[in-house]
Amino acid sequence: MMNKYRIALAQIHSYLGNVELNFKKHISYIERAREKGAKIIVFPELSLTGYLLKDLAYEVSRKCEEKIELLKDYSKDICVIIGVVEEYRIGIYRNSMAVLCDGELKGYIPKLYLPNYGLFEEGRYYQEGDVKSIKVFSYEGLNFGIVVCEDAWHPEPIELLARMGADVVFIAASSPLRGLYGTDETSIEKIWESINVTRAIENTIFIGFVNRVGVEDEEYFWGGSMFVLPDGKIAVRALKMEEDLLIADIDYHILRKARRFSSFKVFRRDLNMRLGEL
Amino acid sequence: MILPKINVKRVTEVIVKRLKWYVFDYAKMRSGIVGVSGGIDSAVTAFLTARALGVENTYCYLLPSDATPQEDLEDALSVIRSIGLPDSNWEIIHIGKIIETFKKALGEMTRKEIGNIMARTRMIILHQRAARNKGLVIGTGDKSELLIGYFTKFGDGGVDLLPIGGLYKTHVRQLAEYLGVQRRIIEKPPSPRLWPGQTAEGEIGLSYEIIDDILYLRFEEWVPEDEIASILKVRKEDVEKIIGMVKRTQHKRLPPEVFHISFRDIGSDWRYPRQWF
Repeated sequence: MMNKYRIALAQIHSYLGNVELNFKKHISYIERAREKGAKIIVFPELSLTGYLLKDLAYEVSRKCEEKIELLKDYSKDICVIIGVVEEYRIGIYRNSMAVLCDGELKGYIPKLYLPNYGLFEEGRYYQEGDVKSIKVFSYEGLNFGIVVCEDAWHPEPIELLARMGADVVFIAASSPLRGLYGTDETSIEKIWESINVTRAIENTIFIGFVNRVGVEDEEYFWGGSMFVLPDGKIAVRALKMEEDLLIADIDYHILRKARRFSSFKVFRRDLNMRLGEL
Repeated sequence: MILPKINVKRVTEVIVKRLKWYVFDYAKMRSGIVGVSGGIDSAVTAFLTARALGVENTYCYLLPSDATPQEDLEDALSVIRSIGLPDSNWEIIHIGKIIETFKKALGEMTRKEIGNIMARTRMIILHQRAARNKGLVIGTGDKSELLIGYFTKFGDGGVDLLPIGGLYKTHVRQLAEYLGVQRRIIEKPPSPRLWPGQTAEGEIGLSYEIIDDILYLRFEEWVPEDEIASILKVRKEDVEKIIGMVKRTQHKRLPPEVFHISFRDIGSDWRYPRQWF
């Protein structure tokens, strides 16, 4: 196993419902990531379609499938992870991440927790993923998992991935900016940073958070993607409010060192069984 | 005040980025059109529009009526000067004659009816100039006015977008300081100037500091109506009055109601995004 492994987080602005335009942007970011030597590139939640699709959600999945076919060619020497609307069964849709490696579609990772509060109304359009869909991928020696936005606000999806063997978990998000009060960062930015750092520390894994940026209807996605080390340090941050390609290097020695000073290896089955009974 | 202050730097960044994107990238237009009254909302909107689109793509129109005090015209001109608009990009169009024509054609009217005609006349002029300059009409309404319905439907409400519509009046004052709007404009009592002596706070009967706190507590903090009066140490009737204004004017903030007949009509089951490419 090599000691360093480069990944890329593509913080892009997607055009709502315009899969064609978004596809072109994906290609250009994949090329840039490849030039920089990244082995994996991760795009944000619903990156190929835009997030606030409303009723357009029903009509973009076919175009997503077409583009996934085309993207296979681009994934021969880099693993590409993109956000799509997946038609899981006829007329049943999921908010998923498609994983393409070695020129093949390796699978879809659906969102498990669909937010239905405030501006969010995902339950209206999508079916939540089931626990069987949680899986760990392996690419050129790196074991990684993926969760979608809200799934990171709950501890168990990332913990499950970590216990299944993921050393890196990518969080693909579409987080809009709200509450521009005070002189400091907004509460949503602070919350996301806390979540990312907490998930990294509690599971002793790397966390790659990749957020959307730019306008969609009334919302403005703030970007601020980051790569967090297993000891909770934020290694690199993307720009806020602008598109950016964030490059991060995974150093296995950092992971090894962090795990020597972590209680993650201890798993209290009895506590988890009790939680499951509630 | 209970209402927290805004992060002026961040708010400016967001509004400027969004304006630029909305006008140029989304609407594929070339300019922004602002009616500048000499008041704080239009001053802040004009400053932001010029910053977002560039002075060469910002057009400002001063549309005084017989009810407009000289002071307002001077203040509006000082906004134009501060922004540094080229002479080709601003104009004074007196609407007095147009209003007189309406009066002759329509007979005797109340001052409120005439006031609404003035607001709608200005709307017509701004849209005509927008068409000429391949622009969008940039609305100047703030959140306080929009929520209590203190605007004329299809008048100052007849605009293409509302960049400061997420800012309460007291936030607009804070932003105005940051942007360097003239102090006289910031300190002037807000007024639609639809008739001589009219002021917003006089007409509503409460200061914007109180109005904004009521709106913030009720709609952002979800505080029940009956608790707000004791928190703010104001009369219960004042809270009821403001919340009542919000409820009664809901129709002004929504598109006209479409009666549903088919399986899918415009309204609650017509959920397409605005940015529909």
